[in-house]
Amino acid sequence: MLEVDKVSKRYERQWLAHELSLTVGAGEIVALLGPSGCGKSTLLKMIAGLEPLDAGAIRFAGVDLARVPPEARHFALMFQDFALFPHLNVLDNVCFGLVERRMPKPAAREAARAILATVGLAGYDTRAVGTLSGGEAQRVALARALVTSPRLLLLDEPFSSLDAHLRLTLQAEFGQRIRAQGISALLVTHDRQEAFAMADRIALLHQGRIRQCDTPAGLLAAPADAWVARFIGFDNVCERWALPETALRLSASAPAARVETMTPLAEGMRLQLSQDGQTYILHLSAREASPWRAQLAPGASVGLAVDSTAFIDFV
Amino acid sequence: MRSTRVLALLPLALLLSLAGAPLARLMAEGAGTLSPAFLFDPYYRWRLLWSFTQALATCALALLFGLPIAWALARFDFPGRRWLMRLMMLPFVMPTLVAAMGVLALFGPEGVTGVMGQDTPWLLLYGNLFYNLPLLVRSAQEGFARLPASRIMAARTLGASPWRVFWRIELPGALPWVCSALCLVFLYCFSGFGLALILGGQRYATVEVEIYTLVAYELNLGDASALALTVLAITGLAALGYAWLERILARPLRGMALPRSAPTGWRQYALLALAMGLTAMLALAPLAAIAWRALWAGAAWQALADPEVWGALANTARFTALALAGACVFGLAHAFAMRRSVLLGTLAFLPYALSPICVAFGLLLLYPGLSASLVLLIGAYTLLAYPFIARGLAASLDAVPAHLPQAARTLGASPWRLTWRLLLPLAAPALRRGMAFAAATALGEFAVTLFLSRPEWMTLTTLIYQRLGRPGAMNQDSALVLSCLLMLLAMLAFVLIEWQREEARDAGGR
Amino acid sequence: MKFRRLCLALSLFGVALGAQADSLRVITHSSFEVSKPLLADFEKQTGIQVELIKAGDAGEMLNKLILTRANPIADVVFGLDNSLAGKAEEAGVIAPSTLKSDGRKARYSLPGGLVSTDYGYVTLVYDKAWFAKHNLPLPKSLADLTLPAYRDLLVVENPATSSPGQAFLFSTIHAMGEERAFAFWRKLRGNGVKVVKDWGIAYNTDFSHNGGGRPIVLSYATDPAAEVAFSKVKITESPVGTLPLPGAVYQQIEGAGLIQGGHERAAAEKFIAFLRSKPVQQDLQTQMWMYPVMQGTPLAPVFSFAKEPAAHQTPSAQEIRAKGQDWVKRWTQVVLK
Repeated sequence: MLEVDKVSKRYERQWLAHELSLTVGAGEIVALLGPSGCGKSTLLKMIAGLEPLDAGAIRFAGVDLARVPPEARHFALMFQDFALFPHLNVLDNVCFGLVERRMPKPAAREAARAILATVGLAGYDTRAVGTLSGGEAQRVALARALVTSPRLLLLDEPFSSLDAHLRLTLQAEFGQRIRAQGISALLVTHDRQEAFAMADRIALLHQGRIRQCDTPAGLLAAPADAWVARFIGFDNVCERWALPETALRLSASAPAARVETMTPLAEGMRLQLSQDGQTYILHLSAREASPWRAQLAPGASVGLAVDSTAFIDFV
Repeated sequence: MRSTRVLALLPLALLLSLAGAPLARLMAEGAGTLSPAFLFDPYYRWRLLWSFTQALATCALALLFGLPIAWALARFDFPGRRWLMRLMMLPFVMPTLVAAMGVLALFGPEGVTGVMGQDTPWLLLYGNLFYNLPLLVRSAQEGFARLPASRIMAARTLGASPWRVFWRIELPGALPWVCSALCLVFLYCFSGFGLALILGGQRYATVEVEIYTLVAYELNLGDASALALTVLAITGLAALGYAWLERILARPLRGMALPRSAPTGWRQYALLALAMGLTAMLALAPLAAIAWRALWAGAAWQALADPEVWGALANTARFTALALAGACVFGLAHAFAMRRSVLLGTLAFLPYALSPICVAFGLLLLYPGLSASLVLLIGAYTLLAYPFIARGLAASLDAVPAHLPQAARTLGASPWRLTWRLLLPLAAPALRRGMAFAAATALGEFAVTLFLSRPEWMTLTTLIYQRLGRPGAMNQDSALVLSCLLMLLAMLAFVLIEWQREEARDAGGR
Repeated sequence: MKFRRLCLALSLFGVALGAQADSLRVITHSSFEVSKPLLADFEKQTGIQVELIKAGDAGEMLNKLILTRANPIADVVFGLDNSLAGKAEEAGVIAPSTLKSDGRKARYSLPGGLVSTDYGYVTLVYDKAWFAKHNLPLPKSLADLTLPAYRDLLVVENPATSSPGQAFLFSTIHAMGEERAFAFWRKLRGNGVKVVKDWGIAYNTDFSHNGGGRPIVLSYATDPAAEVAFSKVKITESPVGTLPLPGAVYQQIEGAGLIQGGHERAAAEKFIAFLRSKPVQQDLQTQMWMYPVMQGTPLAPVFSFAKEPAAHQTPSAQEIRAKGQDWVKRWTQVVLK
């Protein structure tokens, strides 16, 4: 469906996108994951038609979008700050896109009320948007985006201004709703848990290039390089390899390793161990840690088994 | 907060002694004949109606012409944009006399355009626009510029064309700014005196001019007081509306603003050209016309060698400096006192809402011994000039986020140190701008000067007025040359203060 | 603390400025001019410090005096004329003076304690070039001005706000009688007479000689001389001329007087004598463009360009005092409303 083809964009001598290519299939949710300030939002705005490209092309269903203005693309964009219109009430915010697309007002209201009910905001019609909580505001924003049945939903860090608990709830809820409608979506985020929770595929963006694009399982099985491995959460990463934590185990019979640091955590502890000049990070739950409690102390020695078959070598 | 309210006593004393009490004194003089019967006099009704109409018409025209300019300035980046923004400020600092001369130089007898606007309402409306268009443009521009980019982008992706986005998102978003400017435009135009006196003629003069005639020539204090109270009530409402809106505007806006971009496509270039053309036609043409005609005045430039002119220049400089000092004291006090107070904010408009003629006559009645004393003159200048400092400063102080003073207090700053080391530096740009306006007000003041001044205190404005009142082409031309000089002085005050400000901000931004 | 100290400094500064030495307060209309060296000489010789207060148009000045009569703002007034003398007398703002003449005789006198100093004529002035260009004969009577040929040619000042405007109204009434005069004014309104606020606007903005659209303006009989004196280039003939039509010439006699309740009586009388002294009588001709009242004062050479009207139609000060205000009110009804 969406095809981003060798798009380039520079801003003050820095590449925000450098011959970047990406596709989003029908009904697919793709997450664009990368550190803050790597140009993710700019790419989203280029796709929405709000920023010009320096080079390359963006196509949807085979049609080049270069000359299509944003309002004619039938995409919807959701923002971190929700971008609700403060001078309109909840219902009129949701109606906005329908009215712009020439739907008669009564019909638009009807559709808006229906979708508000599905996001759990029935009866919020005449509320001023300034009185909504963060979660409510983001639900209104989602309703406003979905009600127009966009060909593509673009989400720009949609949950980052919400608190941790609400974020988890809404990620699951929004993911289901988008999938239920069969809408293609491109999600921009710097939060890997969000990407893994919602996306069918994840594209990792770094310095204007896609470093890797794969399913969440594929990424975990084979990160392309050390940067990718670190970014998606591997703790034991070297120049040439990464090691899943499942490959590390404390065992009395295994070769000795020295305990460098011990950090107690709410759900257990974090150990930094060294063996043969190599440093490993290991998380233990309270239950896993209890048999070793007597032996574990900074400077002490414990047995560490490393599953050599689990090493992931970078090409 | 409570302790700063005490500071209000200072400006309140000034307002009471130089504005409230004189007006009350004059009204007491005419109290015997004060009656609402004036409302049934068709002549006064026409005056009030016309004042109202011309103020509303100016508002409408300022909207029509000002919105495209403001939008273009807020959205486009183009070479000379900064210059255009600065030039927009020029009319603010121009003395009424210069503005009127400029309009007449364009559309008056032997005008540059050859169009004769005399005896039509257009002359006054054009003069009103010259002053008030920049006001609306500056304010609306800020409103457009501060609108969060995400709102505009969301609307575009939801299917709204740029034109629809303007009407449905940008204009409603900038509405508080636009409305606050409209309040000011209405207030200035409805209670306008100087421009209407010179440009309005017999038919299109405002109610303020009528009050002048009633008091100065007919000694009809009853009707004059009744009309003055009506004006005060209406302008008071506009000032209240403005102070209320200002409080809304002081709230910080969330979200990143849309960055300005170079115009693309013929439509955007056409809009930009339109904006520049309108600015040149409405805000700069009268000034250019004065300069142009003064350039051809030839022999009249010898007037500059006249010691009278140099004396007037020295007086102008002296009075302006004194008034500026006074305005700073009262402006600072009022600004710190009126923070987040609608009532005190509204009071800062009192000097504009009051009929200057009523106040001037009231001053004569109240303080006959001081009728031609420097104290009264400088006091009156200060009264007219200080609100510029007070209002700008107060708005700027309100915009300081609450956590900055809180941080400073925890770092050990006493309230006075806090003011000195944090609040004043943060508000310095607003203070400087306010000072520019205050200086320009003192520089161009002539209504009060005519009433309270002595010949040896001749200022540039009274000199121009005097030359205008003498026969012969030579006097007219020298009035023009002196107007040009006054215009340059106003520009100088403006440049000295405004340029520094811009540079400081640029340096800070880098 | 900073503010308080500043306030204190400011108020001390104000007190210092307010405490000035006693001086003679002279209130005048804004057209008052006298050469600076003359005034300086007077101050040096008499030791009197003169403080001039310009109070706008003469009518405006009188209103200020009436308003502040309980606590006068000046000691001596200059610029009240025969139109205003009655009103001033009625309001009791002028104190009688015992001024002794310096031996010369004044030709004109004013009632109500005012001492005459100068005189002049309000009359119609026309633009010579305009009439030559349009090949239109000059009007021969005021009635001519109501004819279609002279439509939209005249600009006059509003009698309610301007002394010359009032003077013209009075002279038409004196010449024609009240009823016929207002009938004339009604016709004049129908024939497009333009009314402006004051003399400055009429002469400098609306008069065709200065770029306006009206070739006939209500002004002063000395204008032809002033135009020659203030011309940008040297000229031998004045570009404007007077139209001393019957009913359009008003003799204005200006004078000075002591203000009731004012201080410095002796100094005030000296100042009035100074205004009637030879040098000032000589000087005021080209400063204020008025004729001197003291006999034996030679006329300035440039006055040869302005012929003194042979006749004038001026009501007596008593008549003006009795009916002047009603006339102006009626005029406003007839011409403006």
